[in-house]
Amino acid sequence: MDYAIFMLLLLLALVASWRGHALELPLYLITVVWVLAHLIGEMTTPLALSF
Amino acid sequence: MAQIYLLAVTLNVWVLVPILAAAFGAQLWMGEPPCPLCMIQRIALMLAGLGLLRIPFRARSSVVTCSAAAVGQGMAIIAALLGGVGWPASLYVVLHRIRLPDRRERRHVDCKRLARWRQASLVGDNDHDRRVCGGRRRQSPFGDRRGGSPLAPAGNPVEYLLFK
Repeated sequence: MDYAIFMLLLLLALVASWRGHALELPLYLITVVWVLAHLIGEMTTPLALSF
Repeated sequence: MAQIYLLAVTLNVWVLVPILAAAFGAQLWMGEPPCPLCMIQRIALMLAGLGLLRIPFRARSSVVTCSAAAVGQGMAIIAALLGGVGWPASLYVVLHRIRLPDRRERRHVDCKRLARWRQASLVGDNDHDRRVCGGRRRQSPFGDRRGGSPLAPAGNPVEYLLFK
Protein backbone atom coordinates (compact mmCIF):
# COMPACT_ATOMS: atom_id res chain seq x y z
CA MET A 1 0.00 0.00 0.00
CA ASP A 2 2.83 2.37 0.89
CA TYR A 3 4.51 1.80 -2.44
CA ALA A 4 1.29 2.52 -4.29
CA ILE A 5 1.03 5.85 -2.44
CA PHE A 6 4.66 6.62 -3.25
CA MET A 7 4.02 5.98 -6.92
CA LEU A 8 0.86 8.06 -6.82
CA LEU A 9 2.74 10.95 -5.22
CA LEU A 10 5.46 10.57 -7.82
CA LEU A 11 2.94 10.69 -10.64
CA LEU A 12 1.25 13.72 -9.10
CA ALA A 13 4.63 15.47 -8.80
CA LEU A 14 5.38 14.59 -12.42
CA VAL A 15 2.09 16.03 -13.63
CA ALA A 16 2.55 19.13 -11.45
CA SER A 17 6.05 19.58 -12.87
CA TRP A 18 4.75 19.18 -16.42
CA ARG A 19 1.97 21.73 -15.86
CA GLY A 20 4.21 24.07 -13.86
CA HIS A 21 1.93 23.86 -10.85
CA ALA A 22 2.94 25.36 -7.52
CA LEU A 23 2.45 22.04 -5.73
CA GLU A 24 5.33 20.45 -7.58
CA LEU A 25 8.05 21.07 -5.01
CA PRO A 26 5.88 20.32 -1.95
CA LEU A 27 4.82 17.01 -3.51
CA TYR A 28 8.43 16.17 -4.26
CA LEU A 29 9.56 17.05 -0.74
CA ILE A 30 6.72 15.09 0.88
CA THR A 31 7.67 12.05 -1.20
CA VAL A 32 11.37 12.34 -0.33
CA VAL A 33 10.74 12.75 3.40
CA TRP A 34 8.22 9.93 3.48
CA VAL A 35 10.52 7.57 1.57
CA LEU A 36 13.34 8.42 3.97
CA ALA A 37 11.08 7.73 6.95
CA HIS A 38 10.04 4.45 5.35
CA LEU A 39 13.69 3.52 4.84
CA ILE A 40 14.49 4.23 8.49
CA GLY A 41 11.47 2.17 9.48
CA GLU A 42 12.72 -0.75 7.38
CA MET A 43 16.14 -0.52 8.99
CA THR A 44 14.76 -0.59 12.52
CA THR A 45 12.20 -3.37 12.09
CA PRO A 46 13.29 -6.99 12.68
CA LEU A 47 12.93 -9.20 9.63
CA ALA A 48 12.44 -12.93 9.26
CA LEU A 49 13.39 -14.96 6.25
CA SER A 50 10.86 -17.37 4.82
CA PHE A 51 12.27 -20.04 2.53
CA MET B 1 25.11 25.40 -25.22
CA ALA B 2 21.63 25.25 -23.71
CA GLN B 3 20.58 22.76 -26.34
CA ILE B 4 23.49 20.46 -25.50
CA TYR B 5 22.62 20.78 -21.83
CA LEU B 6 18.98 19.93 -22.50
CA LEU B 7 20.07 16.97 -24.63
CA ALA B 8 22.30 15.71 -21.82
CA VAL B 9 19.53 16.05 -19.25
CA THR B 10 17.07 14.25 -21.50
CA LEU B 11 19.59 11.48 -22.11
CA ASN B 12 20.05 11.13 -18.36
CA VAL B 13 16.33 10.55 -17.97
CA TRP B 14 16.24 8.09 -20.85
CA VAL B 15 19.15 6.14 -19.33
CA LEU B 16 17.27 5.85 -16.06
CA VAL B 17 14.20 4.35 -17.75
CA PRO B 18 15.86 1.19 -19.18
CA ILE B 19 17.88 0.72 -15.98
CA LEU B 20 14.70 0.64 -13.92
CA ALA B 21 12.82 -1.49 -16.43
CA ALA B 22 15.69 -3.97 -16.88
CA ALA B 23 16.23 -4.38 -13.14
CA PHE B 24 12.56 -5.02 -12.52
CA GLY B 25 12.25 -7.34 -15.52
CA ALA B 26 15.35 -9.32 -14.57
CA GLN B 27 14.09 -9.84 -11.05
CA LEU B 28 10.72 -11.03 -12.26
CA TRP B 29 12.38 -13.27 -14.83
CA MET B 30 14.58 -14.86 -12.16
CA GLY B 31 11.62 -15.31 -9.85
CA GLU B 32 12.90 -12.86 -7.25
CA PRO B 33 10.33 -10.16 -6.55
CA PRO B 34 11.96 -6.89 -5.49
CA CYS B 35 12.50 -6.44 -1.76
CA PRO B 36 11.22 -3.35 0.10
CA LEU B 37 14.65 -1.72 -0.05
CA CYS B 38 14.83 -2.35 -3.81
CA MET B 39 11.52 -0.55 -4.13
CA ILE B 40 12.77 2.39 -2.08
CA GLN B 41 15.91 2.67 -4.20
CA ARG B 42 13.86 2.63 -7.38
CA ILE B 43 11.48 5.25 -6.14
CA ALA B 44 14.52 7.38 -5.31
CA LEU B 45 15.84 6.85 -8.86
CA MET B 46 12.48 7.90 -10.26
CA LEU B 47 12.55 11.00 -8.07
CA ALA B 48 16.01 11.79 -9.47
CA GLY B 49 14.59 11.48 -12.96
CA LEU B 50 11.75 13.77 -11.98
CA GLY B 51 14.22 16.45 -10.92
CA LEU B 52 16.03 16.15 -14.24
CA LEU B 53 12.77 16.21 -16.19
CA ARG B 54 11.88 19.48 -14.54
CA ILE B 55 14.63 21.24 -16.49
CA PRO B 56 13.30 20.60 -20.02
CA PHE B 57 9.77 21.24 -18.73
CA ARG B 58 10.89 24.70 -17.63
CA ALA B 59 12.89 25.44 -20.77
CA ARG B 60 11.17 27.81 -23.15
CA SER B 61 12.48 27.85 -26.73
CA SER B 62 15.65 26.06 -25.64
CA VAL B 63 16.42 28.73 -23.06
CA VAL B 64 17.31 27.32 -19.66
CA THR B 65 17.28 29.64 -16.69
CA CYS B 66 19.82 29.23 -13.92
CA SER B 67 17.11 28.73 -11.32
CA ALA B 68 15.44 25.97 -13.33
CA ALA B 69 18.77 24.15 -13.74
CA ALA B 70 19.71 24.62 -10.08
CA VAL B 71 16.37 23.43 -8.70
CA GLY B 72 16.17 20.49 -11.08
CA GLN B 73 19.72 19.33 -10.41
CA GLY B 74 19.21 19.87 -6.69
CA MET B 75 16.13 17.64 -6.73
CA ALA B 76 18.08 15.00 -8.65
CA ILE B 77 21.01 15.16 -6.20
CA ILE B 78 18.77 14.87 -3.12
CA ALA B 79 16.93 11.90 -4.61
CA ALA B 80 20.21 10.25 -5.67
CA LEU B 81 21.54 10.63 -2.12
CA LEU B 82 18.35 9.02 -0.84
CA GLY B 83 18.84 6.11 -3.24
CA GLY B 84 22.50 5.90 -2.28
CA VAL B 85 21.56 5.53 1.37
CA GLY B 86 19.48 2.53 0.37
CA TRP B 87 22.51 0.45 -0.56
CA PRO B 88 24.29 0.47 2.82
CA ALA B 89 20.85 0.24 4.41
CA SER B 90 20.15 -3.00 2.55
CA LEU B 91 23.56 -4.39 3.61
CA TYR B 92 22.77 -3.41 7.18
CA VAL B 93 19.43 -5.17 7.06
CA VAL B 94 20.89 -8.31 5.52
CA LEU B 95 23.82 -8.52 7.94
CA HIS B 96 22.26 -7.33 11.16
CA ARG B 97 18.50 -7.60 11.17
CA ILE B 98 17.82 -11.06 9.72
CA ARG B 99 17.99 -14.09 11.95
CA LEU B 100 17.99 -17.46 10.26
CA PRO B 101 16.43 -20.72 11.41
CA ASP B 102 19.05 -23.11 12.74
CA ARG B 103 17.97 -26.60 11.83
CA ARG B 104 14.82 -26.38 9.80
CA GLU B 105 16.44 -25.48 6.51
CA ARG B 106 19.62 -27.47 7.00
CA ARG B 107 19.17 -29.37 3.75
CA HIS B 108 19.54 -26.16 1.76
CA VAL B 109 22.97 -25.38 3.15
CA ASP B 110 26.24 -26.67 1.76
CA CYS B 111 27.99 -26.94 5.11
CA LYS B 112 31.60 -27.18 3.97
CA ARG B 113 31.24 -24.19 1.68
CA LEU B 114 29.36 -22.29 4.34
CA ALA B 115 32.06 -22.82 6.96
CA ARG B 116 34.81 -21.97 4.49
CA TRP B 117 33.11 -18.77 3.39
CA ARG B 118 32.37 -17.78 6.95
CA GLN B 119 36.03 -18.09 7.86
CA ALA B 120 37.10 -16.28 4.72
CA SER B 121 34.66 -13.43 5.19
CA LEU B 122 35.21 -13.16 8.97
CA VAL B 123 31.46 -12.94 9.39
CA GLY B 124 29.31 -15.23 11.48
CA ASP B 125 30.20 -17.46 14.40
CA ASN B 126 31.57 -20.95 14.65
CA ASP B 127 29.04 -22.07 17.21
CA HIS B 128 26.19 -21.27 14.86
CA ASP B 129 27.98 -23.20 12.10
CA ARG B 130 28.36 -26.19 14.36
CA ARG B 131 24.72 -26.15 15.37
CA VAL B 132 23.53 -25.83 11.81
CA CYS B 133 25.98 -28.10 10.08
CA GLY B 134 26.82 -30.61 12.78
CA GLY B 135 30.15 -32.36 13.11
CA ARG B 136 33.28 -30.96 14.65
CA ARG B 137 33.59 -27.35 15.47
CA ARG B 138 35.91 -25.60 13.07
CA GLN B 139 38.62 -23.57 14.65
CA SER B 140 39.17 -20.17 13.21
CA PRO B 141 42.67 -18.69 13.18
CA PHE B 142 41.06 -15.50 14.44
CA GLY B 143 39.69 -17.08 17.60
CA ASP B 144 36.21 -17.85 18.83
CA ARG B 145 33.61 -15.72 17.16
CA ARG B 146 30.62 -16.94 19.13
CA GLY B 147 27.99 -14.26 19.30
CA GLY B 148 29.53 -12.21 16.56
CA SER B 149 30.63 -8.63 16.89
CA PRO B 150 29.17 -5.26 15.93
CA LEU B 151 31.04 -5.34 12.65
CA ALA B 152 30.63 -9.05 12.01
CA PRO B 153 27.37 -10.19 13.54
CA ALA B 154 26.51 -13.80 14.14
CA GLY B 155 24.29 -15.70 11.80
CA ASN B 156 25.28 -14.05 8.56
CA PRO B 157 22.60 -14.98 6.03
CA VAL B 158 24.51 -13.96 2.92
CA GLU B 159 26.10 -17.37 2.55
CA TYR B 160 22.73 -19.02 2.97
CA LEU B 161 21.29 -16.89 0.24
CA LEU B 162 24.26 -17.58 -2.03
CA PHE B 163 24.71 -21.29 -1.43
CA LYS B 164 21.36 -22.66 -0.41
